[in-house]
Amino acid sequence: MIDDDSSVPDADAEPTPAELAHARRFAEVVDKTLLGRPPAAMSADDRALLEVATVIRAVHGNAELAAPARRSIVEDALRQAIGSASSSPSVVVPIARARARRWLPWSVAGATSLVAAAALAVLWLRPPAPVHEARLPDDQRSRSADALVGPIARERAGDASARIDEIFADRLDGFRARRLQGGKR
Amino acid sequence: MELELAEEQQLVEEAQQGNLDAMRPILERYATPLYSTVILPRLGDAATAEEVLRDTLATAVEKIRRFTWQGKTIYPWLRQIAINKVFDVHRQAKRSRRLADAMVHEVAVVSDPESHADAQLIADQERAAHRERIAGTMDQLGERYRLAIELRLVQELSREECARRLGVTIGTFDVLLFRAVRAFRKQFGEAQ
Amino acid sequence: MSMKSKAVVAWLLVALAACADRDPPPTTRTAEPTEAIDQDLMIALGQAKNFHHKAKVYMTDGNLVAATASVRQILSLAFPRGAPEADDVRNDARALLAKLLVSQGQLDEATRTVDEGLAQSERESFFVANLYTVQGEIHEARASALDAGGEAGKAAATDERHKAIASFDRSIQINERLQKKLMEAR
Repeated sequence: MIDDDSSVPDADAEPTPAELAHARRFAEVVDKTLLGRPPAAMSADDRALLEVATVIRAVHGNAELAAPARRSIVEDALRQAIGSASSSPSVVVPIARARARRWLPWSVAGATSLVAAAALAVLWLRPPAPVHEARLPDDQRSRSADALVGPIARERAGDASARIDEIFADRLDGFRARRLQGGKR
Repeated sequence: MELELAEEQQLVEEAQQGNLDAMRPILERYATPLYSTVILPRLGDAATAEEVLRDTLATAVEKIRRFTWQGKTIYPWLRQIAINKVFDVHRQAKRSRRLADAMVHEVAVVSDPESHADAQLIADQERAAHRERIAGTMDQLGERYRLAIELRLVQELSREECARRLGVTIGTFDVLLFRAVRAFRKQFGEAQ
Repeated sequence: MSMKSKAVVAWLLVALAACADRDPPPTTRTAEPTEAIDQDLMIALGQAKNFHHKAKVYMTDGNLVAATASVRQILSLAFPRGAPEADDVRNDARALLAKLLVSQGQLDEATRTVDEGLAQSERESFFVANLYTVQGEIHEARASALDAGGEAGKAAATDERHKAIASFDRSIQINERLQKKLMEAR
């Protein structure tokens, strides 16, 4: 454990093997942090020193928030604050009721005259309106995240948190685009 | 400024009338200065800082109806929420780290509260105040320690380049930086 | 035309108009694509994100047990049926989970976590390749542990190192295949 109150040796003092090992470990922690990949776990000593390093870097503008992280945080905050209350479910008419509504005027017309029955037959025999299979743009489709994430380097094997941020932000764009076009929620 | 005051006022009013989504451009605009000049320098940990930022923005959206527009940017209000959240983190974690505690103290923002000081100006002033504190502490360190921090953490040069400039081996530079950061931490605590 | 006939004709016209009105416009008959990004998918991804962030904060505080528990919760999230993101997110969570377990010395549990992920994966992906990478790291950790045991464990350590190489090779092969596929698709 680092003793805050212990004096720090002079710059030229010979390091002990323990200090040398600790210094090397801390150097690696700083290395990874500067590359944007702080180690998942580290000792309390290293964490305390890394905080100092991070404050110095932050104050000099070297630890800015990356744009994808910023977007993701803003979206999270809005979602957290707004909750699901704002998302009113789209009005869906049950199929059976819709069909009944469609048939009701025909029944009345058919009962009142033969002409109406003939019209009914004409309408009935008319080829059905084509069902359009929506050609969904790729970005609005649920799909593998491979193209987005790409091959995962070994030193980033445990960076799942950064990847989920990326996947979430990407899918949110597609989800929004779909909603703007009137797609179901 | 990307977001003019009139536009900001309109968005705030829209949000206050129930369209909370109107807050998005405001949050997008101020997330970065809140993170880099208010939260991270007071916490020193990026993951926790991101959580606090998220929480700050969510609270701002939830409480936007309580905000009273006084003809100036919403940024000071957001900043105050962020500072309160940082205090909460320190209280909850019972952190006693000197540096973090020292940075938690309010930085006096010198802009006239009645003026239409824009958010960028406030953020710049805050960053300058932090820098002054850091520089004051750096000045009290030995020359080689100061250089080690300057080269590695401020200029972000590689270990190899830092070692070359100081005329030492990489292993020696690692020790220098390790001692420098420890010395900084100790000095900063004592300087408060 | 009598008043009565006029009324019947008017009635018929109204009836016909009503029928025409009820004919659904083509847009309402557009099939809702099952693969569309929907709210359920966004909720599941959002939850996974929150668990990862929680885990990250726990890791920063050095609380690896709580971090492990948080990542584990991602494995039981309900994703929409057939959503390819589900496999990817779960495999990524397993990779992190296994690494956390390794850092706590739980090598058997880490192996189980990776093996389950590989067994449950329905297709090759960069996330599956990543699981093989982590599998290789687990073998390496075993080898180091065996090395520490002295001469007796030497042969077993060598065996673990061979297994690690095989896992890394597998990961590289998957990555190469997928990259080629992605290039061809462009």
